[in-house]
Amino acid sequence: MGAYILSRLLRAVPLFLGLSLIVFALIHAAPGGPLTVYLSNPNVTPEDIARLERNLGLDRPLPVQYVSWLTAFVKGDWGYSYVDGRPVLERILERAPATLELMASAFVLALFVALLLGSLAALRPGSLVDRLVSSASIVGISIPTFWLGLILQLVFAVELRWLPTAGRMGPVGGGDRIAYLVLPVLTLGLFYAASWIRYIRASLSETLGKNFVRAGRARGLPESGVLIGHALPSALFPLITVLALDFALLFSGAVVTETVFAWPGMGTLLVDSVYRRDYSVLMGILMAGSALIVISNLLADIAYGAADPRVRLVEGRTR
Amino acid sequence: MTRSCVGALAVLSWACLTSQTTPPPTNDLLIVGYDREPDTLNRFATHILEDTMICIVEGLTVWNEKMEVVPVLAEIVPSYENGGVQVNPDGTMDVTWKLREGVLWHDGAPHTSADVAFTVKAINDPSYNPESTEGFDLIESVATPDAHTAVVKYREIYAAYQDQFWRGTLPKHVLDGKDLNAFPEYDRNPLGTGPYRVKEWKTGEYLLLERHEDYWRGPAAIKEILFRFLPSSNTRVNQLRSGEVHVVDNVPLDKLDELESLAGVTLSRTMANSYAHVALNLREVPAFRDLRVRQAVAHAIDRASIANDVLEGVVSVIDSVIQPMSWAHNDAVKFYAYDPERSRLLLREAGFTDTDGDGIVEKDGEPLLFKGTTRSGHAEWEMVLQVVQAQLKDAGIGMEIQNYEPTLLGELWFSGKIPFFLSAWTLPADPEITRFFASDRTPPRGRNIYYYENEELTELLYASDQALDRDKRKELLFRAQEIVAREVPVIPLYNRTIVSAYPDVLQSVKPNPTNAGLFWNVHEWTVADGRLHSK
Repeated sequence: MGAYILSRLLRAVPLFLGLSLIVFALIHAAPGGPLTVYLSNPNVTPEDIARLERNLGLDRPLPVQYVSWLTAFVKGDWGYSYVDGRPVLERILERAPATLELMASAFVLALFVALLLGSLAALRPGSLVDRLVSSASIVGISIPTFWLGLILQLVFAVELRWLPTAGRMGPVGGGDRIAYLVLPVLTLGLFYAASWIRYIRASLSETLGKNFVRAGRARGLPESGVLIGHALPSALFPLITVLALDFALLFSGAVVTETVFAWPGMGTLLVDSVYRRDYSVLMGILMAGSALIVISNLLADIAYGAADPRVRLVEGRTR
Repeated sequence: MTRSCVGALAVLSWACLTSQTTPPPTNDLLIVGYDREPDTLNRFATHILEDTMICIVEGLTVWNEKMEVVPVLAEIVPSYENGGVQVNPDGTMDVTWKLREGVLWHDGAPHTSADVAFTVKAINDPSYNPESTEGFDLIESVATPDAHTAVVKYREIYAAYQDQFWRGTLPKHVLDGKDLNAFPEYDRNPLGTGPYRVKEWKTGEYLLLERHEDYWRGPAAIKEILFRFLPSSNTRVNQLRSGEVHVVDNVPLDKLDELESLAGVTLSRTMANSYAHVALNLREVPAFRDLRVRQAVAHAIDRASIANDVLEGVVSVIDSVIQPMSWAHNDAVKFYAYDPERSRLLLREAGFTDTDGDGIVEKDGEPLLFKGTTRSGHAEWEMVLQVVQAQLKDAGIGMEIQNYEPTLLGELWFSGKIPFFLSAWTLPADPEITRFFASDRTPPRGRNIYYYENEELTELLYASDQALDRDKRKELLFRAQEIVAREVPVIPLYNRTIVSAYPDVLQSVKPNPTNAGLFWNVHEWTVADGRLHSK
């Protein structure tokens, strides 16, 4: 197992190198730069811009800038923000806990809702419950996240005043952290729940018709025992890959959710950095995002091995 | 499973029942919904002057609610008349700043002329990255004959000298010898002389200020001010409605209807030193080089309809590029009334007629068709540009809308590649407009994004920059405004209105038309209504 994980991580190195080159080229190909925003100030002169470019190293050829960034990056120096001059790693690490909190909570909620409703629908195929759950999941997938967020804000925060509108937790009079989490987590989680319900329903329906489930019933096991002890674990097996990939994709959903709810995570930092062309912070976030995808895939493989003893992880491949 | 559902509902209910404890505004705490997080609190290092900074770091002067320069850390504003400004025979200019005595930095050290001299030295250090060195780069030296006098010598006459230190000074005793480009301790918690100082800055969430008990004007009434960073205007408005924030500045005009009926909230409208306009690029659109075509475009736009119908009367139509609250504003410049007939006539005189019947006039087979641009995501401007497009079409002028996000827009804007641009300038209080209209101030030298050339205008403008006598400068700027209005390289649409929302019980708020912002006199603010908890 250890050799397998090491091998997978080593194989990710050229992937990261390629990704970094593509990301670097793309963000520099976009018009504008970190200093463009200064131009809107009529007090800023061309000499000011030239001085800032020179002092920040932005006047160097792009290949030189890339090699300089890469050399520092592999040594653990992620550079400094062009916006506030603070270390990139510090800026990302101070935002990461909020994003991970949001993503993990939304993941757990989505999984819980999807398991509950997907199982109910699978247990009674064709019933009213099944039709309602299927319709709800289609609606859930179709609703744009930002719109759902605003509606939840209006209903639960502005009109009913049950929950805070936005933010994570203030220093004064802000209630507790769970209250601040509820609306963003609902907004982000319901979309994925809607998506996973369909997987679970389909997978569980198929599993419930298999021989080992019928054998369990024939042995006199209670229906809940059959479902929880036998059918669900087997039905969830194919879902591992979906969940692992979607966990990484939750980050993209978090960008929208964080913006609507002023959630102080990496998503809002990414949006700010894109608008400001804060190259160094953008590179840092995008590399961290790439790492998240690689690690999620790796965890999925490990989870496969743990969930099914027939799957053995060996160096270089899964069999 | 049922137990799990009940558990989840219990958590939600508990969260709901315990959450809404946001206090009303009191002298203990005022909560502000703020549209962005500052990059830095160092007033010299950012292009955006933040309300938060002005609570902490004071200038030698500030612009008040009437856009007058008034002293803060200076005893008086130096002028030619009071002897504070002296022009030397060699063409240099000395400005003597008398500093207020008894002013202490937050750490207890006295604020002195050494801080003024250090600030000039730091800003002019080529290795430092201040946002702008304008004015500072003209300073030859600073003499400090005593602790409360700084004599600033300019290499040439600089009419905007009164604004030189409005961003404040840098504390010499703390920053001398430090690398100011890499000193986040100052950037995130600057030492100032103002009524507040930073208590906590939680990145991405909020900035909490606490009052400085030894403030030289006496401690402010409000003990703490919490700036919550809420970039989404929907969220800011929703938090104001739910009572989670007490103050919101720069309320988007499209949200006014939602807030008009909100009980206990004052909506103040302030005419800003800023104007929305359409810039005609004479380099990109050859037809605009003909004055008659520019006039035709001006006559084709119904500005009154835009101000009164589209923007519901919140803004005022203006004709001059210097705004009404400025002492240099000329309100007698040429006025282009909405007159589509006159517009079509001017186009015919310029040789443009609709020969193919498609509704767009042509000349030598070339249609009068160009791209119109504004900032994408700016709902107000996007809407106005669509109205302008329809109005121009009525006069036979074709415009295709192509909007861009701010950074891309900035790149195109200042490289002079946008043919027809709807935007707004927010101007310093000093009425200098040379950078916008002098012939030699096209990008990158200046902001003449119209590529308009006029020798007479250029001479007038440069002469005004050298005029220390206000009446003389006013006369020169009046003539300059007349030329700009007559020649219309830019079509002023309306003066921008700043809408601020704050509680009725908050007293002494004086919204400011300049980028000194709403909080420029925060030391005077107090919450009434009998809910005074401060000791």
